[in-house]
Amino acid sequence: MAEVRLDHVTKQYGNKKALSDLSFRCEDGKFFFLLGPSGAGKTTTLRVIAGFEAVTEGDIYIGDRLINDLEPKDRNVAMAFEAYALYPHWTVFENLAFPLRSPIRKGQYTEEDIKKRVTKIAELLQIGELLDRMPTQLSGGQKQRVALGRALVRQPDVFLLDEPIAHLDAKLRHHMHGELKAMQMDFGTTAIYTTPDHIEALSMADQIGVINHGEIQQIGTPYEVYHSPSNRFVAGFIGDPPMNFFDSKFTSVNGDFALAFNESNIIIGVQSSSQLQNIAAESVMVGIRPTDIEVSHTAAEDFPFVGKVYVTELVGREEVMTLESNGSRFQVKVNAGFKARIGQTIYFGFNKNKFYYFDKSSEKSLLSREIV
Amino acid sequence: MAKVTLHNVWKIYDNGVEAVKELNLECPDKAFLCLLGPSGCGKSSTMRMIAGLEQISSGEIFIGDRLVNYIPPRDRDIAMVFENYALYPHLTVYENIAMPLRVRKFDKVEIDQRVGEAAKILDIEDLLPRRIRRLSGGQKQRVGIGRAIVRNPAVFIMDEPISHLEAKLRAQMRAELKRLHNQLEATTVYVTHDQLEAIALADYIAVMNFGELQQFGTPEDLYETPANHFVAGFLGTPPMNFIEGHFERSDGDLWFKNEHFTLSLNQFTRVNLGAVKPVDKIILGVRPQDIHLSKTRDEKHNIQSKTFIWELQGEKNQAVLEIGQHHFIAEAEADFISQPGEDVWLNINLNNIHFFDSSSGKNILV
Repeated sequence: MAEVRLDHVTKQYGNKKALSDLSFRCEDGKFFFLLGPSGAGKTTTLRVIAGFEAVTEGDIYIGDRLINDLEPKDRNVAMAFEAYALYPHWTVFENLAFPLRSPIRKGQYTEEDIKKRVTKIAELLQIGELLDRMPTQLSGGQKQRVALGRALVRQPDVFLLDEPIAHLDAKLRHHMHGELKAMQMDFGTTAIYTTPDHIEALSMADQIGVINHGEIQQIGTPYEVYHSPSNRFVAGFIGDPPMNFFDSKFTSVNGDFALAFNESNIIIGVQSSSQLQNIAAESVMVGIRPTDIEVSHTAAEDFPFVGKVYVTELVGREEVMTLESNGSRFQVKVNAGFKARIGQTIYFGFNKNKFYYFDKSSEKSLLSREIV
Repeated sequence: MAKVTLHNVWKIYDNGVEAVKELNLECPDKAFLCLLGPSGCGKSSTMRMIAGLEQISSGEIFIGDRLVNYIPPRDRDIAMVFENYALYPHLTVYENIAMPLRVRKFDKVEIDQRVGEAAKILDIEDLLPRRIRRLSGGQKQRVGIGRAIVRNPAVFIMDEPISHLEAKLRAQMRAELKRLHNQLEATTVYVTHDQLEAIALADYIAVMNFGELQQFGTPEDLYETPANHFVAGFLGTPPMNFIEGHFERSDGDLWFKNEHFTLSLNQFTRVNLGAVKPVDKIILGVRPQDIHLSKTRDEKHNIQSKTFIWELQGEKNQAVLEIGQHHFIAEAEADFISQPGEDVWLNINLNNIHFFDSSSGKNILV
């Protein structure tokens, strides 16, 4: 067990910076997620922690130990990949035992130790009955567990998981979220997990580091990154359907704060006005989540704006409706009973307390939203 | 445009595998039909028989009023869109879209006009002079669709056309396909294993499993009134919760009971359960949205569980709860948070629950 700390880590390939001044801390025993799109630098981060790549600048610590110059095998880190890479001609037991029998650990474990450890891990992963099977006789989910077991069997200080369930089908992936979270809590092993899937990160993480273009965008709890995104990228990346954005200007209507929208104004309530006092910028980028736009088939005071239905898509008992208004598109989540058809006219209004404001050039959040 | 009708259709391969069993199906004119099911369920064999890429072992397939069993694929007036686009990489976008028309010896003016129209609909007019290998995945798929549109067929057949695209692009193309169908009003048979895609796109869904049709209906029908245990579990994310038990009656009171809890059904009014054929073992089905949670026991919240895992999902939270050995998934409001191991009490909304016959899997309320 140990905490992992990256201190101003940069990784450069030729002229290209894969990681840029990356700093974060994964506390002892916690589940830390690196969340970002492909090419963001997630896998590179794991590879420098594992020691498969050297850092260009900066320091990496496991516990109090500076590990920059340690060989991968001396870091006591285990990495599980998406591709399970099981040995097809060996049984599940032999696959699980492999890391303990590896030549670099010769003499470290007796056959009895090995049997004990493999059995214990297999039971935890609920693959105890599969120990005699060959990998070809396993389902995708079972293979995945064997691969995880192989990484865990050594009881490493740090467990690195690189998109471990990305290729499983949706149902099994959903099931594995709960399993993996429970497993991590059971083992209490410090774990760093990469994924491009925000639901996966929100549902399992203790802490999330959102990463893009090799730079950390925000570090926080799932609640913080969802409800108080530090910039436009984080706001747009976390949430399904994603947050809507539009350009606007602050104005004043009868002394109240207002936002220009579609040649009209949205008057902001008094409550949020006080928070907005500190915003100096006149032009802003405004964000609003699809659940915070309200719609109606008829015009009314609460629905002052008009749009046309671009497309609707049923999602269980809800419907995601894309509205086109003044050349911009907004996605709105409504109850399936709302029944809208493509091309139909719809009236809408915003839940004004739920606006997010971003600086137009830096795209940084202009509000520090209070976290409950 | 035309309806597609399948009448007692079987597909039995040479090795004896019965891929499709006695399938009866009608896709109405102008409708968007999804053939949905897990891999090996027979959806692809069905689609291939409609397209004429596979012999029909027995039964009849009609496109419009025309029996097509013995009509070669090119004469069935269908156009196909595949997952792998099967485009000619060395030709331009224009030439790829024009190809089916050139093969059918259309004149130059007509070709030019039709390719132009298709490109306009798909918003790829700028791409017409480009070569295929310079396009992104989404652009290639548009060209693939353009090549199908240009023929103005009676029926479009689409085989998992967007399943390999990354999530964001897939969502975008899904919306485009839906708009396209709305605009062209062309009968479409669409094969997918992805229930989210089917629910979002389809007018009608045919759910298949083990070569058999499980249910045919609108997405709402399938979601709210699943014909059986399989359909109930296949549609919906997170999936429906199931737990086995039995009915118990006394003095006009009715309960669903098992070793973990007793659910009073006196308020259950949807169907007269008294008239339901008695079966020994019943499976209760409850969607995660139909469970309300409380940290304290009261008259309504009287089913005990323990929090196994608590997951944030954005606007809502999701709980994996333990009822005995069973895991139940419940949706919770964003301000309801619970720690693993904590007691949580459930209230089940009786309006949307289902009961399935444990042996046949049939929904006994339907």
